[in-house]
Amino acid sequence: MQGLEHYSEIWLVDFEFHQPSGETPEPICMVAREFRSGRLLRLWADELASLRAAPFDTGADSLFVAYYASAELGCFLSLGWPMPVRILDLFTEFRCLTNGLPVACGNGLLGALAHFGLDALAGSEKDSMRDLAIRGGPFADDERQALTDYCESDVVALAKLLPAMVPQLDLPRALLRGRYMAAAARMEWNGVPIDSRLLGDLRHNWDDIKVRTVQRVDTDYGVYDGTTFKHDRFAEWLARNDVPWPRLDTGRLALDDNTFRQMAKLHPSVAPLREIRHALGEMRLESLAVGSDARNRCMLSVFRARTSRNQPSNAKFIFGPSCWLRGLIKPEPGMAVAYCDWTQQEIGIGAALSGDNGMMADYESGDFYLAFAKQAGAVPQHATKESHAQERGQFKVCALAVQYGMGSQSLATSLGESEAKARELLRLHHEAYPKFWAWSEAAVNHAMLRNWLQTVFGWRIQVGPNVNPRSLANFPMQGNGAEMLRLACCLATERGIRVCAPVHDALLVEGPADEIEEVVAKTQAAMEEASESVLSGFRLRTDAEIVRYPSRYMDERGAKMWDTVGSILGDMREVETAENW
Amino acid sequence: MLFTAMNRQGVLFLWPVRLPGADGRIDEWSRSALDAAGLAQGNWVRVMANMSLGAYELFSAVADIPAPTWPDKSLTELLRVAFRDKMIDSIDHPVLQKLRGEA
Repeated sequence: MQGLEHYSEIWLVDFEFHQPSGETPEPICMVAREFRSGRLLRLWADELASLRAAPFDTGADSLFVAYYASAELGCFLSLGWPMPVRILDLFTEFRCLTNGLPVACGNGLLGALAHFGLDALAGSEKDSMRDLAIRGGPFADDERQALTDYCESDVVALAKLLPAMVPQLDLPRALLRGRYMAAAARMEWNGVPIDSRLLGDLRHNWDDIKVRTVQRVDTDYGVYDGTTFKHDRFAEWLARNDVPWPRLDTGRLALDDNTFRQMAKLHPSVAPLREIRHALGEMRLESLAVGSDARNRCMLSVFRARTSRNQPSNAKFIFGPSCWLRGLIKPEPGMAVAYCDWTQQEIGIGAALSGDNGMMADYESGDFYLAFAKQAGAVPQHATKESHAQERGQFKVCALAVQYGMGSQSLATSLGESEAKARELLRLHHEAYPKFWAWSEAAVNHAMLRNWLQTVFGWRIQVGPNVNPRSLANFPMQGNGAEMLRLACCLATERGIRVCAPVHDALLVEGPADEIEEVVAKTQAAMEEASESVLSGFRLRTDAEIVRYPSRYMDERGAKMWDTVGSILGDMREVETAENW
Repeated sequence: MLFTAMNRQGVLFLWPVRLPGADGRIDEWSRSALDAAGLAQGNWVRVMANMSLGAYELFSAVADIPAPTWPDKSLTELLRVAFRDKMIDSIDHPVLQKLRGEA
């Protein structure tokens, strides 16, 4: 097969494993088949545990092929085996081939087989075997046989799928995506340190806490009747506080979580309300996946978003929508965590990829929003963040709105200003950064004309009939941001940095408290290197926030809610335990 | 005037464009839309509203893009699909009754 001929061996691999919520995977069996020779390896858990490395070549001359490889590679980590050097993940490649288009039978192995017109194991049989693996051991002889046969059937499926997909693969880029599966496995395996004792208290008292928190938070707002959110009272609060709010076509206030999230960014005073609405509605504290070693672990669901970003479960992942819950992140004794993120990543990406020198210079100034306001002549050259906070705020909202393809109407709503003012700001952005706009419009034109758009490393979105040009305008920023994050995760994990989780435009890393500065420096170097690779040498700046034991991590958007919940829990349990909050 | 049109995503649609009035006058939006419809009969054309200009901006594709695959349906059939339940098919139609002040 073209592109694969220089690999001396191609190993198709599948594991069955047992993995309770929040725990690391416990391998049950593995089947591996060499694609050309048909050499077959079937090993049960005890045989796997006796090996110090995979029983096949995993060096640079061999290719490791799997479907959703981070699961298999998680088993490698549990077994203490070295990671394969060359990884081809057919799930990722199937997603890349079909991204943006409807997929008749889903993105699973069966769906991919069906897409290529290949026959497969019946779905019902797959479900029953999966249930058996979830149940865990001990297994009777016939169950062992059935599980291993089932495992082998997935490997047989891979042997059918590989030749069907290879002609459409961009192998070098596919291997880069495969490399990320190893990084994802490491991050999923590491997990995030959690204050599990406090989590236990919260879970135990959650129903009471919710009711009391509403009462407490609502003293600042007066928008609840019991635990019922009242539309008219909220409208009055908005009017009293001069907060502009998006409305539906019907004229009613938009009250979906997405609107609350956006508005909480623009108007921090809204943030506690968003937190409590989420806590009362969707949040299920029981679902947060925390293992017996007090670490939050869940599937990162890599490449799930159209932009190729990770899309972990909101309920299972500590970096879900409830910002206040992140206060549960607490390093173990002697340890520290650090949250390292790129500064204004999307603006930097737009500036560099468009080649707009003015925009790049303003990014490099250290305060893009103020530099934009100066370019536009809206503030004097000697203006600072402090002296012209309001003007800077408006240019910030405009600069961010541009990244999302926002029009003047939406921008006006976000700013709480007239549409004429919003149009004027957008015009100033056009004038300040003409090359960026030409590039952005060219990207949308390309997508509309050719029906596809791709990142610098080949993650492609296909344009279907229900195309949204705004999301296409944002795709280069989001998609290339995802590429950058993946590469940074690869570099960091391969250099031995203990990455706990990737978070949109950030990495949460961990290390001994007395070595954390060094860990941060290495992480930031990896992130900057990744930005240079994606942006042809343009380096994005990074920030880092270090949290040492016994302190806990805190997202400032959730700080008020955290304090409120902490105070309520303190009232509910004995005073001495409140000190631990 | 109704133009039968198709976008690059293969979506077929009828495009209403206003013609000049009896005095020959036409607004710039309609004029540029008519220009676009004429240009699009030989080329793929991107039509983009320019609010400052008060008209559509037209961009012809320079790349070699395959022509659209038109459906094997007459304009009458397309009209029937497009207007479905919005056809006035009798003198007693509620819309006409309302116009006559009968409903």
